[in-house]
Amino acid sequence: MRVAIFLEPEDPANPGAPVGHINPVTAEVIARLEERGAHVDLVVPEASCFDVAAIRPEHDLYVLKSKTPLALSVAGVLTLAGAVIVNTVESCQLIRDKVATTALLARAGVPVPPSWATGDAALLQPLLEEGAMWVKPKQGSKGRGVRRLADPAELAAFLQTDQPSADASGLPLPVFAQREVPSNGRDLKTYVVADSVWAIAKPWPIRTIEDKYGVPAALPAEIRAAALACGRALGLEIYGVDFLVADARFFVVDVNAIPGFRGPEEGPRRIASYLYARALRGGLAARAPTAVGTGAGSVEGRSG
Amino acid sequence: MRMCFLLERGVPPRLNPVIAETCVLLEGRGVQVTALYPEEEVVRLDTLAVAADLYLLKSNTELALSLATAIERLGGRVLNRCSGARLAASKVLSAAALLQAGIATPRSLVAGQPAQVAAELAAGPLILKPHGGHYGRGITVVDSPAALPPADAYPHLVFAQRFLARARTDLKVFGIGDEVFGLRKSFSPDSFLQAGELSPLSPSVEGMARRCGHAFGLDLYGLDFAEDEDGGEYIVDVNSFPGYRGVPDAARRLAEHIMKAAGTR
Repeated sequence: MRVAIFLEPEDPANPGAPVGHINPVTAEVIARLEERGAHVDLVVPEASCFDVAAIRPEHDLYVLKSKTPLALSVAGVLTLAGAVIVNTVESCQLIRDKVATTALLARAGVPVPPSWATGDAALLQPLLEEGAMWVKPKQGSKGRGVRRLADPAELAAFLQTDQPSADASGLPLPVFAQREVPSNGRDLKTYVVADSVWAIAKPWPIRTIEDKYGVPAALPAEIRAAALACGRALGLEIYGVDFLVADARFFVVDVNAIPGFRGPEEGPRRIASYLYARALRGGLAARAPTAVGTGAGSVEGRSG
Repeated sequence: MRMCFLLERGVPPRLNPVIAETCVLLEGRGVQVTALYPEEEVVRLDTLAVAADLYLLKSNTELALSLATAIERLGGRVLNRCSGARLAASKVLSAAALLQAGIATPRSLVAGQPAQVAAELAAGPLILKPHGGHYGRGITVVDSPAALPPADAYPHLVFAQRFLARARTDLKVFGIGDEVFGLRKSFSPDSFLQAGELSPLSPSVEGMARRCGHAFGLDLYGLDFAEDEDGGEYIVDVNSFPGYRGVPDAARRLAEHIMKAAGTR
C-alpha cells in the first residue's frame, strides 16, 4: 500500500525546499501507517514543477494535510484522474469558502452566528450600529486577518487601512462578517475522525503554550451531534469544528479539514486506522488496472 | 417564473449589451428578472434561501461563485452549473480536463514559483498565467530564465503553457447549448470587450468545442483557440458564460436557451 501525504513547506521563507512541515500528530500518523506496512511518501507540492498531463494517481490514498492553492490544484487533477483523497478536494475548497459554508451549515440546522457577505465593508455600517462584528477574509484560515469591529467608528478606521479590495484580475474581493455572539471566553474545539469525536477546551486568544494545546473537555451530546452534522453537510472525513459556548447556547465559528489534532491522545491512532482502511477500500489495488498511472513523471515525493 | 442574474460590475463598470438585451427578451416572455451585483449588497448567509427558479452565473467574482455554490447546494438551479464554472476558473484543472477529454491543449505546467519552470525554457518560450486570472491580466510570455518574473509575481502558484509562437491565436468559439459560433479577433488588453468577425469553423474545431463544453458540463462557454502552421489546433482558454459580443442574434439565442434550461428540471 502506498500513501502520499501532502504537506505545507516547513519554511515559509523558502517554500521551494522539499521539506514539509510535520507536527507531532502527523509524525505519529506516518509512523503508525508504516508499522502497518504502508509505504508513505511525503509530498511538498511547492517544491516541484508538475507537468499537468503526467499527474496520475500512483498512490492508493492521498492525504491533504496541506490545503495551499497548489496542493489543492494538484489534488484536483488527481481527483479528475480517479485518485482517492482525504478529505476530498471539493470539501477542502468548500470549507475555505466561509460564505458557502455558513449558508450550508445553517441549512443543516447547525447553529452559526448571524453572518453576511459583501464586496464593500463600508456597507456593514448599519449592522455595526447594532453591535460588534468579526470581519474575516473569506478564504482565511488559522485566524489570519480576522478583525473585531466594535462599532461604526472602528469600521471607519478599518476602511482607512490598506485592505486589498480587488484580486489580481481587478475583480472585487469578498468580505465576510459575523455578529459577535456571547461566549464564556473559551473555545471548545472538537476533533472528528469519521464518527469519533473529541473535545478540547482552549482559551481565546491563545497566550501560552498550555493555552495552545488546551485541556480535554466534556463533550455535550448536542455539540457532538452538531460537529458530526457539519461533517455530513460539508462531506468531511477528518476535521475539526470550533464552537463558542455560552451557558446553554453554542455556535459553530470555524471548520477545518485535518487540523492539528493536538489534544486527543488516541487521535493519531484513529486517524492512521481510518486512513489505512480508506486506502484498502478505495485504493489502486481495489480498482481496474486501467485506472493506474504509468508511473512516469507523476507526483514524486521524499520517502517518509 | 423568476430568474436572477448574478453580475459583476467590472472595472471599468459595464453591463454587457447582450446580457441587457437578453433580460429584456426574457421579461417579454413573462419572466420576472432580477439583477444581483453581490459585491454591492450585504447578503445574509445564515438565512440564505433559493429565491429564483433559475440563477444565471454571469460573474467571475469569488463572491458570486460562493453564493452560486451555496444556492446550488441548497437545491437551486444555476446556469452554468458551479462545477463547470469552477473547472473553467482554474487554469490547472481546465488543462487537466481538456487532456482527459482528449482535446489538444499546449503542454501545461504548474509550480510554486516561476523559477521552477526555468528548465522548460530550453524547449521554447512559455506563457505564464496567474492562478484563477481573468481578462488576460498577469499574462507574460517568457523565453529565457533571466526573464522569469520574481516569486511574488504569482503568490499562490504559477501556471505555464508552451507558447505557440507562430500560431494564430485570434479564433474564439462561443457555445450556446448545441450551437457553436466562431469569431476572429486580434488580441489586445481590452479585446475581451471587442467583437470579432464571424468565421466559419472547420469540422475539427467545431468537434473540439462541443467535446469541451460537454467535458466541462458547460452550456454557455467561450473558448480561445490557437492554430499552428502545421494545422495543429489547440484550446488555450476556457471561459464560463462569456459576453457573446459579435455572435449573431446572441441575445435571442441566449434567451431561448435559458428558457429551455429553465423548463427542463
